[in-house]
Amino acid sequence: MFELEGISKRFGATQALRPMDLRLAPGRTTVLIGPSGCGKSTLLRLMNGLLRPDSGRVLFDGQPLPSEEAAVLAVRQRMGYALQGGGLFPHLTAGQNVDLMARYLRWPEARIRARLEALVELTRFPGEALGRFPAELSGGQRQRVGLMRALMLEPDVLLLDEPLGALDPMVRSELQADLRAIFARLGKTVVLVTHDLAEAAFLGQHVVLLRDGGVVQEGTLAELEARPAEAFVTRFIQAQRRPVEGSA
Amino acid sequence: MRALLAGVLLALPWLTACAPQATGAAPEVRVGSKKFTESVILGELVARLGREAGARAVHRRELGGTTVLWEALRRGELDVYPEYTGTLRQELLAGRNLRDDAALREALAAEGLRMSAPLGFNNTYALGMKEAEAERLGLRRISQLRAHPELRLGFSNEFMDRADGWPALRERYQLPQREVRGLDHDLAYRGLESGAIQVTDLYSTDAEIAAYGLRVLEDDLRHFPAYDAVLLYREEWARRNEQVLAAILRMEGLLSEREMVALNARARLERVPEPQVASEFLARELGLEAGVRSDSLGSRLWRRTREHLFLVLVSLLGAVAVAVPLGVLAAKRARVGRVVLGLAGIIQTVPSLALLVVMIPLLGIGSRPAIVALFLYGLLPIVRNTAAGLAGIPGDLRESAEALGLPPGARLWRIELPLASPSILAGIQTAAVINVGTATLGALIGAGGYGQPILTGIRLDDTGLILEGAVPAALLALAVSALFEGLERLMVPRGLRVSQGRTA
Ligand SMILES: Nc1ncnc2c1ncn2[C@@H]1O[C@H](COP(=O)(O)OP(=O)(O)O)[C@@H](O)[C@H]1O
Ligand SMILES: [Mg+2]
Repeated sequence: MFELEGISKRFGATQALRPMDLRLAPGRTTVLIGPSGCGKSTLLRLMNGLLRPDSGRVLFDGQPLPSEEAAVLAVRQRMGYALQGGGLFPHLTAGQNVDLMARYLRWPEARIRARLEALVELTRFPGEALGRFPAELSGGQRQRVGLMRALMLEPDVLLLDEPLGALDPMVRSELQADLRAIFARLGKTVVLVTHDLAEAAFLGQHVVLLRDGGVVQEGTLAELEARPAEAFVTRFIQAQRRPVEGSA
Repeated sequence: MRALLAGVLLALPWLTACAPQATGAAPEVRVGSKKFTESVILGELVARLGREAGARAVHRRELGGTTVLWEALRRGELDVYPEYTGTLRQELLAGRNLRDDAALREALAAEGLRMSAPLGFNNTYALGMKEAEAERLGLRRISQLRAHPELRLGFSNEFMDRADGWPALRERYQLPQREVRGLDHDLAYRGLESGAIQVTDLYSTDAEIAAYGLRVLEDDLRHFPAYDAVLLYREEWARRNEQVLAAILRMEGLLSEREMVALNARARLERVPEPQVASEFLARELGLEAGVRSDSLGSRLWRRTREHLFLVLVSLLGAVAVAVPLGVLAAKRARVGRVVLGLAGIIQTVPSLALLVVMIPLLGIGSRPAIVALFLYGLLPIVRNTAAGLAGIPGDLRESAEALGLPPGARLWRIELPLASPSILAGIQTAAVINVGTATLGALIGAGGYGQPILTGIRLDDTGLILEGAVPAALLALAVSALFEGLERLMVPRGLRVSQGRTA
């Protein structure tokens, strides 16, 4: 689905991503994992064109991301994107947040309503809360609204940047289970960023481990454990297993 | 935001209907006067005589400064105003060395202006003493002061400093007095009363001459330049309104110094409104019916409220229409933003009075220049708050909007402006409150409003009149503030006002 060829990205003095190649197969959940600041979010933003690579190119569905703004916007409508905290618009209700794009694209009212119903059911969001503002929702509910908004236009891929980062453990594990069910039901290409190994193992088939802007190793978690490419892989896995680390 | 614009746009026709209107075919005379009592009385006399001759007369009273009137007359925004030959010679046409009135007339004709014959009094510098004291010493003329070196003189600071003031006077008359002090003009009258000083400078038609029983000493060597009062009018207007002109020119030679002093005293010291002073005088001298249309307090307030609101609303509407887009631009383009904010900041530092006066050569007198000045003042708070409101939008919201695939225009209207609306509204509120206050200065250039009674009150030292303008202005500022609180309720999206309290 995504092919990244020789992409790199630098912010001033910070080399956020060193030149790398990466292929993400369709219909699969890929997890980007690594310590904070290693470039996971940057990688995700390069995929949906929010950022332009300094070198190399990004292919989506076999086509390079277009360079003109209008065309990128059209491509982005095929990619659902949700970020940590949801990025919900506080001046719009939950429902308005979700159907914002559909209304902008002038979908017929009936289609919007049908889609909303399907999403409420899929994400197990309380339908009567659609009229509430983000400030009136719980953290878990906000996350579900963010997910519904990402899915509204029936995108081909779903990009999720630490969707469960800010939740307390109970809500978090409930949402993890729901997410797994949703991914399974949709069968879409999902790219998920997390720094939590257990979550990565639970939600994703394919794990890409990053460090300092470069890919250290990719494969299933079992492969990473069995044949670590370097000592860092083992250290990262073991650090996450230590109980004190909790859900940080 | 759109609701606000629509509301103000709907209100606009009503407001413009309240604005001073252009006229039809009836003869018309637009009279101006300076912001001191004598000029206002003269303007009132002209207006009444014009009305008597069947003209629609408008009196723009208390305009701020000689050049304002001069420019307005030359630009054809006024038809007549009272002036002094000395002012014409020494200030307006200075450097032309116009020796006599004939030369003056010629110079004026070149500007398309004409000058009446003198109205009869000369309002120039003069020396005055208590009548009884002068009588005791047998003093009638300035030259006679030479024989009394023991006299205590007290002059206004201005007179002490002026080139044609005390130094030149002493030189010309060879005056021997040693005890001469400079003091405040108002204190000088009290000094005469208490005997601390015996001679002071004054204007020859000051109301105080009557009030304190002063004798004006004759300038027998003709040291002080003549400031004969005349009417200045436009040639072109005069040709079209011969009858009105003839009626107005009945003032020629009608007012002696003694008469003018009495009229000034009636207005300044007895606080009789100038229209009534003028009307009494015309009834006495020319047998004109003494009808004074005196507005009730209510109708005065209502008229001034309309004028004031007109200034504030039109300027504010313009400022919103220009400043919000500028603020957006400033937020999107850092370099443009710095320039825009810098310029708006510079405008803000120009004193309001200076800004108003600068407008006159460009836009004349009346509400137009006042509106433009207020418009310029309104820009900064709105631009700044719009830019700040947009810049303050959290990065993740910006990113969300972009990631959804909304094009820039839709992002602005659907996301960014609503999120910035509390800040933008606060900026407009600031601008509105500032404008309500600053608009009181509009009276100085003939824009009317609450500034008019404040101006008159200051001139007449009448606290009641000052309050008649200041209190409504303060109340209006409060009302405007309250209105915006209400608007905030209406326009700021509810989601931005609900508390974060219900988080699980
Ligand atoms: N817009 C930006 N400007 C400057 N530096 C940035 C920007 N975005 C990311 N970075 C830097 O790039 C590096 C990678 O950031 P990011 O991709 O957000 O890391 P992660 O998501 O893995 O925590 C970090 O050092 C971060 O500080
Ligand atoms: Mg990140």
